[in-house]
Amino acid sequence: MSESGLNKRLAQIVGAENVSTESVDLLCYSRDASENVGMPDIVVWPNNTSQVSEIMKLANELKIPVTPRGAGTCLSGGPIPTKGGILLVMTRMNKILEIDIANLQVLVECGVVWQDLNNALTPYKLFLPPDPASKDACTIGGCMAECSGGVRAVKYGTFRDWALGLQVVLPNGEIIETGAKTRKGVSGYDLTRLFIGSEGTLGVITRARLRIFPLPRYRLVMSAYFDSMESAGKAIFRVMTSDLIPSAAELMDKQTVEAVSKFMNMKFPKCIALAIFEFDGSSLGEVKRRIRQARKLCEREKATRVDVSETVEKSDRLWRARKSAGPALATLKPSSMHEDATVPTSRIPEMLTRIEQVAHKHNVLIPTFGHVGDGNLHPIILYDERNPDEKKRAEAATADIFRAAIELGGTLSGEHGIGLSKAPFFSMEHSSPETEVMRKIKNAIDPNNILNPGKIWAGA
Amino acid sequence: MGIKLPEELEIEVYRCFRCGYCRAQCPVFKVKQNESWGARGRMILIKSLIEGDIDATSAVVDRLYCCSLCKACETSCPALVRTSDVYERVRESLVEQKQAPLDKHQRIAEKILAEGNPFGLPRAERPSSYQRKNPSNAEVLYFVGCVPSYRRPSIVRSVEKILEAAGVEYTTLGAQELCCGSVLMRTGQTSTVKKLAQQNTKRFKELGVKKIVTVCPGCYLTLKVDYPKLVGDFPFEVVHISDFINQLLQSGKLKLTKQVGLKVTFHDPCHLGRRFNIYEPPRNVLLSIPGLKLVEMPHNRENSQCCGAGGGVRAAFSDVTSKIGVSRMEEAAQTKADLLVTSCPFCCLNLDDASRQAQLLPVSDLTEIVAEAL
Repeated sequence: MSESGLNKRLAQIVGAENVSTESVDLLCYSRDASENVGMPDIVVWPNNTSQVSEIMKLANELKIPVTPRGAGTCLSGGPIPTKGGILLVMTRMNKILEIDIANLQVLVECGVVWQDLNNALTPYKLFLPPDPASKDACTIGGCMAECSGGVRAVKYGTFRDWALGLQVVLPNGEIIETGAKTRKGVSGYDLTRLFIGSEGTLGVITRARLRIFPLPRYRLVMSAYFDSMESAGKAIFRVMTSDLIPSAAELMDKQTVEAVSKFMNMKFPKCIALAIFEFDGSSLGEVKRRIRQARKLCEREKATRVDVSETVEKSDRLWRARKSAGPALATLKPSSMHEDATVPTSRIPEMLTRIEQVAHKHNVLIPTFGHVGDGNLHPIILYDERNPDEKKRAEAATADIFRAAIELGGTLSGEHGIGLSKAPFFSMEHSSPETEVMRKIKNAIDPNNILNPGKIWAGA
Repeated sequence: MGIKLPEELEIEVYRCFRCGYCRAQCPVFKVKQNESWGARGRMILIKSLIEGDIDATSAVVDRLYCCSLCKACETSCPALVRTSDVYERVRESLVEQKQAPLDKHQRIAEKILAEGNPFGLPRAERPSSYQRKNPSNAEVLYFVGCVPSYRRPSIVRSVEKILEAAGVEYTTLGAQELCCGSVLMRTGQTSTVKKLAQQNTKRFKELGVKKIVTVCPGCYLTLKVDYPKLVGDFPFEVVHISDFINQLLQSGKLKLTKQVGLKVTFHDPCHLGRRFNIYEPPRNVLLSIPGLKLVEMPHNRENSQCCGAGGGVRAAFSDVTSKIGVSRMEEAAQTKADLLVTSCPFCCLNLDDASRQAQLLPVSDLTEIVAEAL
């Protein structure tokens, strides 16, 4: 079918105003927050599930690639088309369909923005705990497709842990409902979890039913400064293996602290490592008791200084500083790769050492910060893409970091997904038979390989 | 043809790493729901222009001009990109290359050059009521502005009433006042603004004033920030009326005695709030009015939502402006306020239009309600 023929058919489904082939639109939809680039041939904004179903039927019939996209805040190239085709922008399906307080769950359309959902839950003193840094913009559909996390994942887990069920449009246009309204359920294969983290390769998630949770009344933040990464790593490990259950346990190395300090115009005490903990709960006394205990543990590991942020403003400022770590570091060099390799918590000190060795070996800057409490580090490999030698060294360093994570029993990605960025390294983590199972699943659901082709494993 | 930006602004463009957090803030994106009409899309387009990958087609120019320069995106930008500075400079560059401004903006420039105001109304029709005696020793110049002069004269009467009640010795330029050029500055027509700045500055100097009080935050921004850059020697203190009235109240020179039993909500103008952090003075003024109750909208102060008119958007994209304006007035209506007050004649004009269209609450300028309380 000609391009204008396709355009016409799509316009019949969603309305002409919801289809665009304008080159400015194609260009702006060719990027996400990663380094990847890929132009779609046509951008479509569906308004409901049946339109998505019609679009998929048409695409399947014509064997046209379809790339679903939420807010495009992805850090691994998930919503970037690799073979042109249709870019399916899901953000107009943004209704909160049900807030079911009796069963502590919500039913939402995929395009609902994380923050909008949580704003709607606040009056009920409820919240959806996983909190990606992009929460003001990212959509629930995108969070499900990428199995996003956030700083509070250390206590509350990622999106996978909060999903009860999904409505999914399959590549052939059929609509299925997975899971149940119940907290428990062992009824057939767990299709919900199959689609969560499938990065838009198996189906288009159109609705999600999610558990929600009582909002903790108190949150206190503690920062502990150390003069070695090893002491910081040990202190965090001690806190994590105690009964204190922090709702966040973050680490920033010296380079990150210095970059953030300059970037945010904030003063930090001199240190080699900064650990930030958050404790939440319904009783202030109890939260304070846990803070005191955590302070003791940090002091035992030779913390040079421990501060508790007494006010919400101070805590917010510290979190803003932590969240600015990525961008602050990115200003040090023209190019950067933001990784999210994750290791078992007990291997964090080793992983930190390995990253230092990799930086030294390849002579590149790799400042590191991240959610150490759950083993999820964010080493940032800094380089200048205009210098071919430096770019090569940065790429080699990236591969070495992935290798280290896998050798320590970890994974390539804690929360950003494989997408395009990490597809070349997929075989490092997954054996051929394991990848073959995934291929077979993909082939069973999407035999024409039209849904988000080219993602996750090389040659997909 | 690509564009060239000064190094310090080009770095800003490259610092954007497309995180997309600005999606939650950009008022134009909220209306259009299309990346190319949002802050991140504009940065992608600008980078492509710099690298020569795309031409400044009319579709590209439209996107780059459909931004009210409200700076809301900057409040959420983790990379602290100064987007509005970038956009203004990009527009200037496009004008230099004759690929901009848009026709509507070009016509505004022609009208200003012909009649001294963006509406093209006769110069002599600037309301004469404020052509006061012009005491020769006055240190304060009340810079009236085009919107109050031609579109909302009640603001002019209100300001006069306030200044006289406080015993401020002031003067005005009368029919000699020229548009400050704000809309031209925002739409990249800098060389025209330079001419206006030179003429206005010459008149300010002839009057021998020391302080210039503006009612419009657009005039305020242009006189305070742009004029010194354009004319070099600009030895005047520029004060916004909300700050000025606040000072008069605090020093006891102005007293508000009449009860105004209204519940009002306050809309922060972008050029006053996010641009200059002037959030509290207008609120202090409102709270000095006996009987008045102030309620905040969820989007207030640095999170305020733009009225949609600024940056040349109202002139060229009236449909977008109108939708943004209505959405702001709907937010105001939800506070159950009797009246929305703002401290910008242009916001006032625009929100009043939106409110009439959607049949919502009335809109006043801060000066109008203060005058009522005298």
